[in-house]
Amino acid sequence: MSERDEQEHERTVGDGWVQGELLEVMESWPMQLLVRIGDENVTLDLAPDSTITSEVGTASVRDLQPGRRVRVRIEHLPGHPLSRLTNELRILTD
Amino acid sequence: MSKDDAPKAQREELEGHVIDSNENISFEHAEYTWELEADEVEDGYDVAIHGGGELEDVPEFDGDYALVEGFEPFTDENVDAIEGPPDPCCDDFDTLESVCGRDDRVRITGTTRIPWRLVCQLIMTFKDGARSRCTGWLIGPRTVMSAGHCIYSHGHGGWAKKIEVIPGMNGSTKPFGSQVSTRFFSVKGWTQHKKATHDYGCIILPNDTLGRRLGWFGFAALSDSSLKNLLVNNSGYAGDKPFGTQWFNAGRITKVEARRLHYMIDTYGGHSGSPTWRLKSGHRHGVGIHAYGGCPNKSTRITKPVFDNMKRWKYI
Repeated sequence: MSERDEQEHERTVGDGWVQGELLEVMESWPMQLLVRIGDENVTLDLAPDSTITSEVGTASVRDLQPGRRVRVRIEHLPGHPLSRLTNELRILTD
Repeated sequence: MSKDDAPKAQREELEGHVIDSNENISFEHAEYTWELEADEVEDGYDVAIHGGGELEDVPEFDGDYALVEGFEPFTDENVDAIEGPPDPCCDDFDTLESVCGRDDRVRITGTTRIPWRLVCQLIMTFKDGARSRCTGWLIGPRTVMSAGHCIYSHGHGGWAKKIEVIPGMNGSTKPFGSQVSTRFFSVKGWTQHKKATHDYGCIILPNDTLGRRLGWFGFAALSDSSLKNLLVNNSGYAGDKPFGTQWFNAGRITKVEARRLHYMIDTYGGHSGSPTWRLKSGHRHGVGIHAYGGCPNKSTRITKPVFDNMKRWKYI
């Protein structure tokens, strides 16, 4: 792991709901999101069965576009201390 | 290049330095030229025939729609209105939730044929135990290109522990078997600086058995003018479809950036690493490595530094 990634994990965002800016949608499977949370760029797995909503109702992966403000619920997977996952995401209105 | 551009060019060069999965860094000089005056092309190898872009001949694929998707309607008021059928790019269609505009992806069932057999399902296992999937494509006898984030994951501890490469996978069938690799390459711009513009890498197979049997894609660093509006093809292993099935789509490049290509080609999670290629007079050249969604979707552009790294990796 690069020194930069180690630093990111040390001072990292904990579990729970956080707000940030969606920077990139990486199309691995599961998808990965790069989200700017505070002054950190955090990589999250987007669980395949994620619930994605917006402030006006149901949304989908198609609505995940760089630049959107989002609120995500982050959790660490048991046994996978380096992995951060979100299975709930809300797209916020600017 | 002006004197003022020198520091920026040096930074660009450093981020293009190759790094492998043993953390060895190659310091070979790679001079970066911002503007390509001519296209640079590396031919592929087609065991069967070797040897402004065209569409692959895929039954049931709507080529007319692919030609215009992603482009604004022509609104020059000085042009007379043209009578005729409605423009597919401008009508409202029922959109499926996961792709750009109308989902016109078509499944490839003949995966033992060129070029589909050169497209590989990738199954990655990372050091933290996480498993995920991507797509790759053969560019040499034992070299498979993919996205950097498929090979080096910032979210899963860095380099993959191993990657299974399955060329031409077709549902539950592995028509050519598979190989497992533990040797990978990427660039510092991705592994150390997490730059989306440097999101590419490759997998080195244990031997050249697969490449010699199946062939490989060519690749090209094209100029801005060659890429603008170019019709390109893409095929990969989509996560919203049955596991192991390969899905094709095509469309025009809608925006050319210095290091990325934008298009409305329908892709989904799992497509990362797939080839974005130009078909021209029977020759196929990858021009980008698909990596990002968000409509428009995006490839890491094969620029001159990327091209040079790919040539090095091709002959490892």
